[in-house]
Amino acid sequence: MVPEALFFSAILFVIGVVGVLTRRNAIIIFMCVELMLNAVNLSFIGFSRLYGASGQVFVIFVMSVAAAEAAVGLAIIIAIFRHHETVDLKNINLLKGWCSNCPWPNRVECIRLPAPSPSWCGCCRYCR
Amino acid sequence: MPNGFVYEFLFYLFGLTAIVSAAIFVTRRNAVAAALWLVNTMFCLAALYIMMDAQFVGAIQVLVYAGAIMVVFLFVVMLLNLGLPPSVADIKSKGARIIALVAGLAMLAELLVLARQKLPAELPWLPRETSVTTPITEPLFRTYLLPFEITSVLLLVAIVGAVVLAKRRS
Amino acid sequence: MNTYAALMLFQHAYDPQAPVHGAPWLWFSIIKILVVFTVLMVTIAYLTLAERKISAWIQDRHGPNRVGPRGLAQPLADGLKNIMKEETYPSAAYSPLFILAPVMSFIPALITFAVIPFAAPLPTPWGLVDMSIADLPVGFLYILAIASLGVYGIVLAGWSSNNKYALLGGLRSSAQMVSYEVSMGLAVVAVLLLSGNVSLSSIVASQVATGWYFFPLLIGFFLFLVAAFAETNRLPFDLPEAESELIAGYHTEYSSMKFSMFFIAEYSNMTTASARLTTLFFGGWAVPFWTTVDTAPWHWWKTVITLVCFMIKTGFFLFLYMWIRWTLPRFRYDQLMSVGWKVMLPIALCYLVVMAGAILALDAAGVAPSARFGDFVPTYWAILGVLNIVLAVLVFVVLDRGRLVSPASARVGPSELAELRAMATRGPAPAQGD
Repeated sequence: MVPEALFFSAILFVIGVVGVLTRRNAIIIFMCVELMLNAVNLSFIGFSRLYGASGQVFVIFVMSVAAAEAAVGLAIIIAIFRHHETVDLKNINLLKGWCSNCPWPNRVECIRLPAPSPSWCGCCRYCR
Repeated sequence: MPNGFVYEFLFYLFGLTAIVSAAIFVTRRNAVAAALWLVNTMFCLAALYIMMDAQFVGAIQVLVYAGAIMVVFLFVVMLLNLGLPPSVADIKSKGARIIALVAGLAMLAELLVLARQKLPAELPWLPRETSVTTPITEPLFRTYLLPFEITSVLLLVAIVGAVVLAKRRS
Repeated sequence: MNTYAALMLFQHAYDPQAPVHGAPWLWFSIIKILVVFTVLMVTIAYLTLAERKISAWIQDRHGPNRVGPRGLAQPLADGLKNIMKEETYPSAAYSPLFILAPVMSFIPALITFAVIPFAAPLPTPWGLVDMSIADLPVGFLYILAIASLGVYGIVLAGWSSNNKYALLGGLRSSAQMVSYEVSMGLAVVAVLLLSGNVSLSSIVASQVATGWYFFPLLIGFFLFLVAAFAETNRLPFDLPEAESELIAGYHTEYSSMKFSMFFIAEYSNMTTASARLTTLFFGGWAVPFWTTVDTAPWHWWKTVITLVCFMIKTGFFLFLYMWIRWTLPRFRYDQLMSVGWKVMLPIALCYLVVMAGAILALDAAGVAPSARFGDFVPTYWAILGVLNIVLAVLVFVVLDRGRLVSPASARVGPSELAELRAMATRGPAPAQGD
């Protein structure tokens, strides 16, 4: 049954990757990462049928890392939500210097001004 | 012992259910529904673990993933009131989708090629009488004792980090 | 039944003391599932009556006494009423999950009972039948895992009703159950240290051999009891459905049979939690001071006696649940969370360290190297018990000092008294922000 388990694991992992690449909701992306971790766990368990119980130990490590990651990641999401009032990754791009609704042609040179809403960059007259 | 038609049927049933639920999960726009489909995937994976003689890990999978991590996800979704689908589409642009498709197919092909490697023979099943925790305690507390202890530090760091991040500054 | 199955039934009719296997095992499993499910549902129905009778007794009333002799048919009338009532669907509810939520709280509540051994094995012509539906090797972990799923039903009911009271109830419940699960798990680790196995049948077997665990693990028992109350959302931890603030919380929008399923789930959780307490700390089906009943060779009368014993013990804990419900007021929400994280969890962690150290030291000192799995060793038992009593005194008297465990009986401090007097003379202080 090990080849089948590895097959299921590969498909689940790819579903997780595609989810991360296509979705914009930060929480769903997070869950996709959890799905990828689960897929890896499945192959670890499969390999533990062949090479002994060390695979199961790795799964326990992966689970504790996943729990730590979920705690920190969700705290980050909550902090972002407090600031931007959205978890859409499209709007979380302050390092670019402009927001996603900014149609200003020279937006690279935008200077950050006080914005009316935290999710807007306030760099030009469209966002002000 | 665990061979025969019923075993194989259940194995494929749980595996395919896991894949179908995962596929439904990535396509849901409603975050709560998505989380529940993911929980279903995790259940099926727990069943697969148990069917591959990893009973302890199977129980821990339900306990940690379905019972704790996903509950926290749901909790956050409800706390931020993100449950109902947003008005704008949640999917990235066409270019991103094409890139995702190509990347996904390439990765799938690679993983399937890797999965077709010749594998050694399976180990025998543990006798029914042994305690389920016995086989993993040996590697966990001897071979991997240092990583195990470092995990606890990692969890501590995560707790501190989560508290600091989520704390409301007054 | 076809001829092959009939042949299979008689093929194993040789050793009544060996475990049953093959086709008879399947038949016995099906019979056990049906019987246990029926008994559990009838018990739950009559628990609702018992709850009302006990509340009436505590409050000096009569309780339900109109339907049937002394009100004994009241559960039937209630069930009929719930089935006949109109099902309401709030227009703003998210209907798939609104319908799924009662089911998701109902099923985990019922299937936890599957691993609990409720009597001594029954010898039949086809072999020895285990008196638990499935004696899983992961035993207790299965219970923890399934119990942690009960939260989904409540959370989803709260969210999908699209009602702010229901949502608050759901949020409270998820936070509460996740917090108390941790202390519950840690409290049980001490039991697993003593028994050396996670399967419930071996936990019972080792208690039969070495004595019940509530004495050497007194604080563990207390922590588990409190966590069990919190897990089942019963008073004093019933904040998810606090009637006075949240108008019944997560099931505000539910009516008729869907409401009834939440109700059944609550009572079923109570029953399972009582059975768990019995199994982990009070010897499961073991009869006290009568070792011949608890050990092989098995007879049908041993099964009957141990079953009755299990029912009495579980019944006692069910009574305790009701007794406490009609005696104690509910916690405030911040008190609940601070008890969970700042009191229960540190105590459980310290307790685990102390007990593990004590067991290791006793083993190393050679008091009884095989006591944990072999037979009853009085010194071993007495040392662990005395250690627990000392710890209990430390926790409840020295650390607590009348702040948390006994606030109701604690004396009011002078400053508090002055404040109360001032309040009595000039009426309640105006609320902030008025």
